[in-house]
Amino acid sequence: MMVVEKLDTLQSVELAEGVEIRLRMAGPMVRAGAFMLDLLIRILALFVIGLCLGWAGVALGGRVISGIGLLVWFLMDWFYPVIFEAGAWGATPGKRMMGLRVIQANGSPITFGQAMVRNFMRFIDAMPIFTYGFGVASCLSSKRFQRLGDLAAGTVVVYDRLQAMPVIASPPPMAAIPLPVGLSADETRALIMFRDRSGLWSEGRRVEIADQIVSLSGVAGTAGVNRLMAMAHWVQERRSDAPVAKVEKWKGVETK
Amino acid sequence: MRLDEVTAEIRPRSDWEAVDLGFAMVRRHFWRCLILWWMALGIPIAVLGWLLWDHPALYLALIWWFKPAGSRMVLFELSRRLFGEKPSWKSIWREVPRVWVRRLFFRFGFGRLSPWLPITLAVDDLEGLRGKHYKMRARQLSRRGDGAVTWIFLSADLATAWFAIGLIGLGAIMLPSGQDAPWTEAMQSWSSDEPFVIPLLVMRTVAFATILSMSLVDLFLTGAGFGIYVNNRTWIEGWDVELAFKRLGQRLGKVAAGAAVLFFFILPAISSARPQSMTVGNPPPAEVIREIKSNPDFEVHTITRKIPKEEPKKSSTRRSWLEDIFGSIPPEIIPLFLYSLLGLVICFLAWVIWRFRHAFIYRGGIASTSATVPSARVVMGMEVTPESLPDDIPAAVMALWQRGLRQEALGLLYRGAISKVMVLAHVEIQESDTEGDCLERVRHAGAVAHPDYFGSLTHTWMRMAYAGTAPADLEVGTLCSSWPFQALPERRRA
Repeated sequence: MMVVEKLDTLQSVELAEGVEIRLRMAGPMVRAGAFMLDLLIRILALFVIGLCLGWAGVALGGRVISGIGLLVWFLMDWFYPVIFEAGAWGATPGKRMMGLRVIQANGSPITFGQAMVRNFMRFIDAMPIFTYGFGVASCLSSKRFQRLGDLAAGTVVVYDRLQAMPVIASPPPMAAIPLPVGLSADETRALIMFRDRSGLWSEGRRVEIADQIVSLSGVAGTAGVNRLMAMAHWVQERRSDAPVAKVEKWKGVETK
Repeated sequence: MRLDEVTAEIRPRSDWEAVDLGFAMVRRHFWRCLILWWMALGIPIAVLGWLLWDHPALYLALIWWFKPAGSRMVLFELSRRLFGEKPSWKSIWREVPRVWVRRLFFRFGFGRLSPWLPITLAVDDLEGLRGKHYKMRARQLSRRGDGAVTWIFLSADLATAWFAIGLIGLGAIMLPSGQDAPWTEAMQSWSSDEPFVIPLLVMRTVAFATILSMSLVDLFLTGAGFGIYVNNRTWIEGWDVELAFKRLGQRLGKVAAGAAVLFFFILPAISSARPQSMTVGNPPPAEVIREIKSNPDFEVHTITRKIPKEEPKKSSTRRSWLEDIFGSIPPEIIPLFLYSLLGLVICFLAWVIWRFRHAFIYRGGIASTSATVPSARVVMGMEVTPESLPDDIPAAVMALWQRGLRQEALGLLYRGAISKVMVLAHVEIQESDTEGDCLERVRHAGAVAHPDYFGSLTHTWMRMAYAGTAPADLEVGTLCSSWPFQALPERRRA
């Protein structure tokens, strides 16, 4: 079988401390949503500013006001994303609403210069005729969903907020059974996930999944499901007052 | 099609991340997907193009209506690729006529307009379910991620039109100068008196640009729909847990018998597709539910009350009142005034939407993350639940101190204090907080949390814990005797 690298939208980055973090890249569709929100916000802001200037124009006279209006329009067009992305949010209001953030490809926050490069390149990304065709094409063809401005500035757009996992557990088990063998962190997590998400699955499906590790639970079928639940319960609670059960030795289990 | 040969990382994702995964899948197999799309729709596009050469609008509409045939080919490729299989050209050619006729009357009839198309197409094609089973399965799968699915459906045609404009623009840029004479001529003949009579050349260009853009957009959006489909099944069938268990089972050296061969798409492992398997010996759940619901407790009572209508009062003064106001202001300000009014109305609408935003935001069955954070049980590695502490903390501390267990004594005093400020003063302390964070939070909570006492205790404790410097007996005595956190009134000692 040919070995294919497993496809994912995560990007691992090793920090200076030797810690590895995983960035969750955001694709073009959610970013288009953020862009629409920003557009709406900008139109509303221009409308409000225009009204204020209109009232001021009654006192100051039309030419001064139209000059100021054009200046405001220019600043809104070119610097609205720069200011917000270089700021503490690292995101325009639209991006923030969609739970996105702009960062450097190595995981650190972006600098003012990068924000500028990234957003001034919008002019190229928006071609042809403001449809953002180039930007979307670049976004879809690059591994980290980067548009041309991102590629130029070395930035990426990532999901900033983690969605909480819904816990739909089945009724709590009556007993807590200690694990017969040591499990790695990933394996323990899978066991806990089995308990926390089992409420979403049908009875038959639970049995099917639990039957994958008969070697851990020792029994197949519903009894195996219950044993796994009890083990997950033991892992989650780690109750010191639980009686020290004798660790049974399962046939065929090798401990490394 | 075995789950352990899957070529994408299976993990439960948010809906948008699932969409992104779909995009990444299409990117990996872009050229093959594109060829397959054109294999399904190339012939209709060519034949209809020849037949309807003079009716580009009808031509475009027909191709658009027939688009799911192309989506099906993309789905065919992606689903095989996900499970590490590369479909042979022979199997692809055999698939082509099938995508035209499979569920012809539903898929190319009423079902063409279904907003759930991105997901339900996979139920049709990959699981092969029909009739009642199809309906149940489609409903089950669309319970999650419907926000993203609706957006995919809506944006499909919007993006197609949008990028068609882009393609025409691109063509205009690339056209050698001097070659645009027929185009200019056509645009000039497009008179403003009859804007709906579009010149044929313009309409043909639009139709072909739209079809080209449709093929590109449809690839990626079909991929996105498939991403959501895979993600939903990961959630409701626990694919990731099964994979992790499989690996664990292999590590433990004993693979469960009979679990090795599981054909996922052909035998969807859910109860709805084969309800008889889980109801051996029991009456079917629908009957049990009906029986329970027939109990009089579940009867729904309705009471209808009539409220007498109030007669609206007519005001005759309104018109003159309005005229008075508008008559008194200069006419050039009136539009400004109206725009301000419009702004207020928009503000009000925005407020209404914000106020009832829960009706618009789709959370995908996931509760808000900003729900109340449970108070910490362990802070800095010390248990701080009230149950873990003695009733009379100062006395217990003094006893420990006199036995020479200085570290333990001060530790008990400190975690006792943390526990008390959490319970009595409702200071929200997180598990990850340091001593400095705790002190900051206590100061923030005000006098009820006794920040001065807490500050000096923190200071003493940190010197003991980190510098190993024990305080004098007198200091500990003072800390114990000035213990400010008294329990609730009824437990106060006489």
